[in-house]
Amino acid sequence: MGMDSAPQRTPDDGPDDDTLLAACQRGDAVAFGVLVRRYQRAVHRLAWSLTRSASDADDLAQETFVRAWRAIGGFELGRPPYPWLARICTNLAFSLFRSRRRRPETAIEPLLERGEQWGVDDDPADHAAASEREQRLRACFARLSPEHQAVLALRVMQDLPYDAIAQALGVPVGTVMSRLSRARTELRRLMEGHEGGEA
Amino acid sequence: MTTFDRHPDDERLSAHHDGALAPAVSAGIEAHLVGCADCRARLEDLRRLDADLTSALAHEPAPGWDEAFASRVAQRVAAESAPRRVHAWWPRSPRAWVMVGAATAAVFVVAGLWAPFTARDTLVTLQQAPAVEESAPLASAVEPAPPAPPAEPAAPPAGSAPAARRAPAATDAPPAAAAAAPEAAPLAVTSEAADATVSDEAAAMRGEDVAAAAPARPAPVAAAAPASPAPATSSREAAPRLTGSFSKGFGAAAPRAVGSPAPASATQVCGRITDSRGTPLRGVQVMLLGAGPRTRMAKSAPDGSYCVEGPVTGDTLVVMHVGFEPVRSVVRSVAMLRIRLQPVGTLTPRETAPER
Repeated sequence: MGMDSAPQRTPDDGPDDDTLLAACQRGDAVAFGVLVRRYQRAVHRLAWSLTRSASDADDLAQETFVRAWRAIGGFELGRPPYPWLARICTNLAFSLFRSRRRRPETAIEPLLERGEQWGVDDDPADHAAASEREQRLRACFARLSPEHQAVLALRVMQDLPYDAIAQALGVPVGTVMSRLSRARTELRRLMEGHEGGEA
Repeated sequence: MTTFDRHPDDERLSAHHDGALAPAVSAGIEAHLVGCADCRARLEDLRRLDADLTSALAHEPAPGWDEAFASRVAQRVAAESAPRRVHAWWPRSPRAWVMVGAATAAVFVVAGLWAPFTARDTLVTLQQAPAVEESAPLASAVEPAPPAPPAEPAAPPAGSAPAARRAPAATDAPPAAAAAAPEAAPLAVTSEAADATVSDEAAAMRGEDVAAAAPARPAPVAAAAPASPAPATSSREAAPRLTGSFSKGFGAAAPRAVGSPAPASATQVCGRITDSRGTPLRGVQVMLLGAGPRTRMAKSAPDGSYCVEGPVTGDTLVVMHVGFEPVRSVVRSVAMLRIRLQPVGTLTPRETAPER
């Protein structure tokens, strides 16, 4: 599977993850700060993939780390922290999505009309930079189910191996494999429909 | 592999593309791809989709974001308590959770008993019916959970200052009541002050009043004193144990019941009757049984409210309704008496959510 070099990690000269995590478990907030710096970009990228909104992504990432700090006593040392962080982040994103679907006043209807189930592109600069095809792809990605979005974000955007994705999503590796395949098929189908409809 | 001449399905090709297959399987697919342009195109589609998605969803935060974000997180983390303190005692085994559950239940029971002391000092003191009072030690003995011994050494015949202090604070008294609670009354009685002003007044005079009230306890109750830890503590009604229903505790300081078992504030006992979910019950029979022939009756109105005239300290208030466990309590002073009836035979202590 490769990918052991953990591209999710922002390089630094600090102690290794386990040392930091052990210190965190003793209540060392400074050690936790180092971990935050190490993984905040990856967490934020994931959050952004799932929400496609700078403010939502920021909130989500921040909340992810706060929850991680609260729960760090239960973290099993020796395991890589990123799948764990990704799991917290994904679960938070799922509940954000669910709460938005429950509360129509958060303007989910317009989003659905635009083909986006959750999250709004709120950064004009991103729009400008993105090619037309990229924008279509984004719109189609937004129409995928949250589970499909998450599995694609973790695999494609985050380059996580299947076992780490399985940890992050709390599902067996076999499920990751089939879900990824279905997500890709669905995304391709949406893209084809999109292109056909516009042509 | 036998897959040389077979087209890999989407799932397999997708996994192969991700490098997630066992080397032998991947090698088989590679061998197939050499001779199959269709599958090569499918694989190429996957690669393209990934590449496009990567750029479509790429997002790098603005310069300066890293510092700002890290410090925001640091602030939030600083506001949290150290995780170790949270987790040192966090139960890890199912058994530990059971213990925590039991302890929590006990706390809720105590809190329930306690609430009247702290939140709503009341002008009513409820006491067990004498006959029932005698069964209190039994009930206490049956219930092993709460930490404190059920009955502390017989309280100095109330009225002494220490007893008075102990009752409202209730630090040691409620566990005894808590011990009896799950086993005892299947009905819940909440006594509450009629309104805020009464409550305030009662709070103001709590300390001395308990002491004052104690000697005023009606004879039958006083006779049972050894069983009840403190004069004005909540007492449990060990009603016929048809069910193991949880009983929300009740208890009360007894302000202004100074002196003798004379008519307590002369007027009436009023209150509301609800079921265990708080829905008002109409037509509930309320009886005030006195020592003599003075038995007064009333029925609750559609909103569950009732009033019974002319209570005397020591009278027993009996509330009965079809399908619910009966409630008995001894009137010690007059005020609002809210009564919550529990359905017969449906609840067990563990299943019953602590009320309020």
